Amino acid sequence: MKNILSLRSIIIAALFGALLAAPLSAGAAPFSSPVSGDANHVPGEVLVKFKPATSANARTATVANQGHSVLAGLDRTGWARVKIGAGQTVAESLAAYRNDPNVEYAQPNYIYHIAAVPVDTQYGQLWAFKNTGQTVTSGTYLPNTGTAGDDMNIEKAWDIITDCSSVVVAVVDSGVNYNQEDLSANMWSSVTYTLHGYNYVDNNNDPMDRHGHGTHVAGIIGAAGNNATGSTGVCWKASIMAVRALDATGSGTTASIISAINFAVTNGAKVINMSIGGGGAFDQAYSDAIANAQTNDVVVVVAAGNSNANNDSGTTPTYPCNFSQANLVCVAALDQNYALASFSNYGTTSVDVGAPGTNILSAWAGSKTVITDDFSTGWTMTGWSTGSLWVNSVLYPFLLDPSNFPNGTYSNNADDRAYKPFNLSGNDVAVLNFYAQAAVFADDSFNIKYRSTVGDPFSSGVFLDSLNGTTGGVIVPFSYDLSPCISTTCSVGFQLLTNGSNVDQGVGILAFSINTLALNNTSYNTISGTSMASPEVAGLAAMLRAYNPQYTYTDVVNSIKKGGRSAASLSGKTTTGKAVDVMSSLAYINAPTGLSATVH
Amino acid sequence: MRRAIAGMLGSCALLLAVSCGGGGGGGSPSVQQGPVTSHAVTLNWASNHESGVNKAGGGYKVSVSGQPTIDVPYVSGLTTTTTTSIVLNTGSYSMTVRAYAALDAQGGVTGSLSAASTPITINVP
Repeated sequence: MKNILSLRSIIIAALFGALLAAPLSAGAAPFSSPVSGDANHVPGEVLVKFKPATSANARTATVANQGHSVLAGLDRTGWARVKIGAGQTVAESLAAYRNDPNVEYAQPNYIYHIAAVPVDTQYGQLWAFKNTGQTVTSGTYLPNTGTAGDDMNIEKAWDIITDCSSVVVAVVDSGVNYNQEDLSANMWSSVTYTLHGYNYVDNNNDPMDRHGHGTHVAGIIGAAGNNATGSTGVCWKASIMAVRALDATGSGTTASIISAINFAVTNGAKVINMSIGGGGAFDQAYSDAIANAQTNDVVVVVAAGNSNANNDSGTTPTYPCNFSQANLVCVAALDQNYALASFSNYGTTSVDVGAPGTNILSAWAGSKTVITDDFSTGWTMTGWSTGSLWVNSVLYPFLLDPSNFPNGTYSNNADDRAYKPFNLSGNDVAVLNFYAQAAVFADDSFNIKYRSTVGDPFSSGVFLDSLNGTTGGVIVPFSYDLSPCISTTCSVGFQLLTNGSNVDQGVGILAFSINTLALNNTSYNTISGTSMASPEVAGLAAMLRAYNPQYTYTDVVNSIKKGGRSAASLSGKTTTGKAVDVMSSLAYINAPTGLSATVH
Repeated sequence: MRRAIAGMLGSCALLLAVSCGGGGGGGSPSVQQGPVTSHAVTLNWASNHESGVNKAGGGYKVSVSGQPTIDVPYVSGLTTTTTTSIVLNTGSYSMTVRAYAALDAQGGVTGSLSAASTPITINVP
């Protein structure tokens, strides 16, 4: 299972200045909810401006003819604040006055607040919510500037609802740092699951994120809003259930993922986000888990994939996006100009909508570092050598066995070793990454081991992997959780161990790195991917369910799809051709059903 | 039975003052041979799940071919009424219902209206 995660990620915490002109104390709520709870006008009232020539008697008669009464004159002749009749709507009353020849104009009696813009310090970087054409300073995806207005149209919706905590949203991912400053207040928990979810990687009650991806996703859905801290989520208040199905390398299995889905369904989640995906054969058990979520009225929002591929081509399906359950919403990624992101998958039958997915700033699990190594110093080698090879017109340093890989063959009866100690102290997580091309005969082996004390890991160490076979003549990525080796002297090594018969091309290793993570509660990260677009929509699903408590999954999916706004870049690329629009979805009304008539 | 008929005629008489007289206009019911009679027709539909439909400013608009639109606004309680009655003369009628709420897609209050329900056709004898 391949994690859908862009590797373009750099932490730059760009502080954004105070956004509001009105003086507010830090953390103070900048506005209260509208009186009606769902509209920005006084219910049952309209304001009427009569034409100058209209007499007082005519004004009175006009109002009376509507069955209305004048509440006040607004301190100016010809103006009236009018109370409308029972059973009449503001919209209907306005229409009636606008058709009256005595009336110059009529309008709702609007309610004003301090602008519904959260005071979170990095809000100015959140182009998905308010695209002013700003430069996302921490963004590594280009372009990192955009077009004003190409956003989710969410600020108006925040005038109406910001609290989605009545709806449990499960983040099936690498876990969530539930102590992160912008998430700790918005985590789900229960009597049994006091640590906010479950961990199906280690099979315990602690779903702490050991990667960062799940924390980022959770922050997009429900980072605490308007708390003068960090970012904000689609929902300012939320109930995030952390269900860890992906390990520190960002990988999971059918078993861990469907267990996570089932946990979410059983424990009351009504929205599940899965920013994960992988190609390959149809996975029946996975599909059945999503079908079970459907049976239990759960919306499942998933990422389209990051391969710039057509999921509908027949050769590159991406699951879960390509599953066909009606409770599934698959999301493509848009850039800051609402073009389809260069990495985003698409598909006119599998991918439903688009949402912002480039240069998205959100919470992270901790402080990360990347230790890179070009094999030039510090390695102890027997049988291995270093060299440089061209890959896609770029010259890369390699660790090779034999030295003329891939043009020669390795030796029989070899025990070739290469290892080096690394200082990983101070971290909670370490992940070994490298790329390799390999062709090793079946009775030989390519071994990867570590030991947490200095020295040869093949003398007394721990296996990370033992491989033979071939990568098919191509370079493929490898990734291993190296966390048990965290120490000042973690020795990592490669071994080519051969017997006396048969040989093959050998092994070439490049792009060696160790990614570390030191958990903390104050980190943020800006990354790109359909992984980031999916939770934008999952947050919307939670908002829709919170605003409309009677909504079924069908209602939610309809409102997301039909409430979106057309985007040229998504035409012919998705089922709807639309980008999500929060305000429009919030106002969307499903067509009534079940109409019947009885003649008496 | 007699009281019921009288009741229906009374309803129609009341309705005639507004709309029963012509029964015409666009989408008028098909004319059938034989004497024209009037019948009360009760329409029911499923409650919409949008909160805006089921609170002040929300409701339903019922369209019956050849008849003025019937407004069924929210009045009180948890949901808006999902039934209404109309007296119709002999003929065939197409009917749909739409839901509405005060909120609009720009965050204002010009209101939103749903698409029409799947239409049904009834024949009033």
